[in-house]
Amino acid sequence: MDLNITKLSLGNLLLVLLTLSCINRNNDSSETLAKIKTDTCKIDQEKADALGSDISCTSCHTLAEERVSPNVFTMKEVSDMDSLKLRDFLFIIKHKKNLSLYKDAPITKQRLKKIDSLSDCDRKNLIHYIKEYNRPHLYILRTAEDTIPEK
Amino acid sequence: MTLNQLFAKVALAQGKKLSGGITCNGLRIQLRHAPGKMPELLVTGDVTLTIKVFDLTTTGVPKLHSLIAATQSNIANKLRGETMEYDRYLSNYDTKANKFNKNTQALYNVRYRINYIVKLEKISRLSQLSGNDFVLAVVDRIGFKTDNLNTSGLTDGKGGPATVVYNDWCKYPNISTHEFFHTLGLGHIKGTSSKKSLMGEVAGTHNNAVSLNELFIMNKYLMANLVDMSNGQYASPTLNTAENLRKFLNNPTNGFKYNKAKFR
Ligand SMILES: [Zn+2]
Repeated sequence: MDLNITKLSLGNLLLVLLTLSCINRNNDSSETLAKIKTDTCKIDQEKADALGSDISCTSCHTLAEERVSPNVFTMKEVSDMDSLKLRDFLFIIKHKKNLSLYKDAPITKQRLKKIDSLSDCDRKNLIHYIKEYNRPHLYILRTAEDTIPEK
Repeated sequence: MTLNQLFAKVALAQGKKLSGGITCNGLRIQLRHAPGKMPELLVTGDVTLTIKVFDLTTTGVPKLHSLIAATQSNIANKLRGETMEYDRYLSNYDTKANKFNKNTQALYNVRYRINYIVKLEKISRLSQLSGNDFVLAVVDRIGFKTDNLNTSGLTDGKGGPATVVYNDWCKYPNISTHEFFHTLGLGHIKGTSSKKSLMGEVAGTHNNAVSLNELFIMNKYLMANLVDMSNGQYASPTLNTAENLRKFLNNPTNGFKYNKAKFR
């Protein structure tokens, strides 16, 4: 009897352990998958800057405080928008309202086409570039050796 | 008219000298429009850049005058050269009135042929610093630590303030040009191309090269208010320089050592 109970308990334990390890394995694989998904897109400052200068938002969204025309935001205002709104504005509305203005401007047309053709990761980098515009940047210039001895 | 333009006009009427980081007496604009091509604006004229060098050191600074002179000519040299901006959205340029009309807009290719006149002025009191000035504060030491390397300069990008350690400036004469160029919007160059680059993140005596792209970025920053600059007397808008410098110097993370008695 005792032996049977022990057998049963052991069997149950084995089942529980197996189930747990399966759950764990499932968790592991979904975590890994999520990691791969997030890891493939790196927010890279240099890449973001290159995209920003390629698309050249600041040609229309002026660096100045005053808007060029009432309906075109300054770069500061664009950077102030939250990322989701920015995403809609950049990739869904796609600046279509002002398209008539670009018909004789091949470079601007090309820049806008480029926005449309960006990969999901490039889009994230471009949004990063825009958000970075309003953030403070502290630049540290280093020298290889101490020129002043520690006091 | 912006508030700043109004101040510039009032200053002119009172016979006062225009002051600020960027000042000019009106830029010349020429419109060229070949059929089937984008209209091109050629921008020429003098633009004065004034950088106030605030000596906040405790020790004597025997080399300061020669360092200021060398840095002044280095900055002017690096800013020399023509740049071209494609498809800039601007107020319409009215050739009959010879000025921009803010009621309508168009895209232009803009060719900049600007003569930058660079002035480094040594100041010794806070009251000599205006809100729209560029500043380079010279300090004893910057305690900001990264990778066990010494920090020789610390600058808030796009507008400043910029700071430099006096002894390091003596050792590396180009570092104040480097710091000022952060004020004009340049970032750091990393990797192998940084060895000769002025904007390399580790300073050396051989770092002094500026690329055409970097010149373009600085010119774009300086010419942000092109329409106002072409419209007579111009002084750049406020950067809250004095207030920002005070906050910057007193931020304990930055670890500045300077002569507090001089900061008044
Ligand atoms: Zn730097």
